[in-house]
Order: sequence, then C-alpha cells, then structure tokens
Amino acid sequence: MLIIDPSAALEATTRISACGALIASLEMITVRREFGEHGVFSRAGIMSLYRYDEKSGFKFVDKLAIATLGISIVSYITLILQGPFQPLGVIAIMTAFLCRNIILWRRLIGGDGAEQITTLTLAATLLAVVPEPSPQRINLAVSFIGAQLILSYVTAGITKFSSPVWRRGDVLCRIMDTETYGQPWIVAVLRRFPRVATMLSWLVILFQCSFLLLLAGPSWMAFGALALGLGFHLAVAVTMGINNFLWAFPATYPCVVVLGAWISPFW
Amino acid sequence: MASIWNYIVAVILSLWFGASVIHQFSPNWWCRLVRSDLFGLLPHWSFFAPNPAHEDTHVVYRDLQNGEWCAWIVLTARGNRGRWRWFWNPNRYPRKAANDLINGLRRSGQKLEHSPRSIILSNSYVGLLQWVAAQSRNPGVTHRQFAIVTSNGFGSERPLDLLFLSESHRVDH
Repeated sequence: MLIIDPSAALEATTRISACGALIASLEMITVRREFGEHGVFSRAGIMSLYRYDEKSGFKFVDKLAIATLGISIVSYITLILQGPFQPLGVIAIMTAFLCRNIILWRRLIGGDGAEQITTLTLAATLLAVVPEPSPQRINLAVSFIGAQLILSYVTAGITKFSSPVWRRGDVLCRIMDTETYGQPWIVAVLRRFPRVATMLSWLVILFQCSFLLLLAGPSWMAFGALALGLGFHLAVAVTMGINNFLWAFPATYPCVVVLGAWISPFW
Repeated sequence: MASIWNYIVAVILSLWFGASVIHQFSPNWWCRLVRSDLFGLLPHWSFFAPNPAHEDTHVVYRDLQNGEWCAWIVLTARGNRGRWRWFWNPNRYPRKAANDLINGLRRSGQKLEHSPRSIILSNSYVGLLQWVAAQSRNPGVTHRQFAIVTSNGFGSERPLDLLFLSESHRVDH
C-alpha cells in the first residue's frame, strides 16, 4: 500500500503553484502598459465594465496595482523558498492571496482557468495553515484541491463530449488554424492525417471524462492518468502557448495522488 | 478552539466545493445569486468547450478626419508564435481580455436580437468603446468607429470577416 504524506503533498502543490503564479505576475509586469490610459485594462475601461463612478474608491486600487504586483512577486518567491508551513511562508501565502485578489479586482477581464485553480489552491492552503498548520485542516485542503482538479477535468470532458464540434474530430485542426492558439506546421500535419486529429480529440474527451475512474483504479492506472495529464498540459503549452496551465494544473497532482490513495480500494 | 476552527474550515471548503459543482451547470437562479464573484472564486471548468475558438478576433477602429474615413487601425495585440511561448507568453493577457470583451458583445448581441441597437448600452460595448476612445487621435478627427473582424489561418494576406460594426461616435477634443 502506497502511503503519501498529505503535508508533503500540500507543500509540493503550493510551491509549484507559486512558481506558476510568479511567472504570471512577471508576465503581467511586462504588459503593465496595458494598465495605462490607452490599454485594454485602463482604469476608465475597467470602471465602465463595473459601472463604477469616480467616487467608488477604484482609483485607490488602480494606484496600488503595480506595487501590488511587486509585493506578490516577493511573496511567491518567499513561498517557493520557505514552503507554506514556515512562519515566513504563512505570511507570504496571506500576502500573496490578498495581492492576487486586489490584482484580479483591478484587472477584471483576461483571466483563465489556471488563475482560478491557483486561487483555489492558495485559499485552501491558507485555511490549512492559519493560525497554525493542523493535520485535519491539511487533509481538508488536500481533499478540496484534489476534488477541484477532478471536477475540472470531468466537467471539461463531459462538456466536450456533449459538443458535436468536438465529437466530429476536426476541432483541433480548427483551433490550431488561428494565430492566437495555433502553429502552421501543426495545421499542416493534422490536415494531412485527419484520423490523427480525430483520435487526439477523442483521446482528450475520454481522458477527461474517465479521470475519476482512472484515479479510483490501481495506483499504476492513477499514475498513468497523471502522466497523461502532464503530457497533455505540456503539449497544450508547446502547441498553443497556454503556458500557465502547465504549472497550475499539474501543481495539484500531489494532492490528487493523496486523494486517490484515500478513495481507491486498490492502492 | 482549534477544533471549532477545523469544523468551520470543513464547512467552508464543503460549501465552496458544492458551489463549484453547481456553478458548472449555472442555472439562472444561481447566476443571479453569484453575479458579483469579483475574484473568480467560483471556477468554470469548460476549457475550449462546447464551442472552442476557431478564429482570431481583432478589434479595429477608424477615424473620420476632415469629413473622410481614414484607414482601419488594429488595436488587438498579435499572437505570440515565438519558441518560448510555452514558458513565457505575456501577450495572452491583453489578447484574452480583448476576447472576453468580444465574447461579451456576442452574448449581448444574441440576447438583444430583437432590439439590436440596445447593444450600445451593454457592458462589453461600453468597455470596447472606452478602450477605442482612449487611443490618441490627430487634429481634425470628429468621429470614431470600431469593428470586430475575424480571421483564420496565418499571415497578413488571410481574408477577414466582419463580425460587428459599431455606431460612429463623436469624439471630444
């Protein structure tokens, strides 16, 4: 029987998530011009989306935005170095979570699933370690993070299965035929071998739909599913440029392993 | 005291997970309830489904200067096809933001099918207009108009389709 320490799993998850969040914050600093007067995240533009007026106090949040990004970068580095269980790590995770939410409030648009799972991971870890780490709360946080990953894969799988576009099998070719998410050479390969394109889209659907079942099976099956998941996120990052998913989702795998060990009768 | 806190955390995380499950189905009553989820604490895990993006969308605008329309100017950031984009891809933020606004406009368009002009009051239209209006302009410009165009494939020669054309808006100097 495989025994994995939930604390070690939560620590690994938090550190890897912090790596992804650090890269994301540095990327946001790179495009800080977009937060200026002419950018897509301009204060006036975001205020119009919220329907805030000048008295709303949003100006204050705007003034803090870049400084908050800077503080969050320091917090993520501290979290990576210290882990979530050291006193400095606990302060770092609290600061990171607070800064993260200020930035999300200021930015409003342009977010994605990777950001969401990182926010959930940080929040659950925060609840596990404040005021001091407790084994019960660590188990709860590990279960919550693992369950969110399972929910994400299974929901995505079922939604894809219910979509005729995905079932038809040419969907990858269509996504790849865009500048935003594609590469010309991949489109050429998928057009030349349409059966490969169909097979790949069905592989994604089956993998995501059956993720919970794979996890509940023997440990080799669960580790196989996670290896497939890692390969999937790596392929998505390389081919589509969705780099933050490569950190955010595999980061939760240690928690998923612990959850698998708890729910599977075969481990 | 510690055990009470453990129970409270158990309740919070259970409710949160339950809410996350309901959020995947997003029934109308639920959408009204969680309309102001500012921080995205309730995830939506649909990832490129049911209808994935199969076209590039671009926000473009043009000015009416001295009574004549000028050439269209592209506002949207270009996609990054560099070899490091699997690790470093900052442009996805502005691109995704523009896509969010455009998708919002599409949804509003579908909702307001019977009174298409009311779209100018929708959040996404106002957000896009605010972005377009914030761009600098030359003297003599009196009006500005934006459009959403879509494209497939790669390169500057690819054909464009018009998805949406805004009203012409007077600009103040």
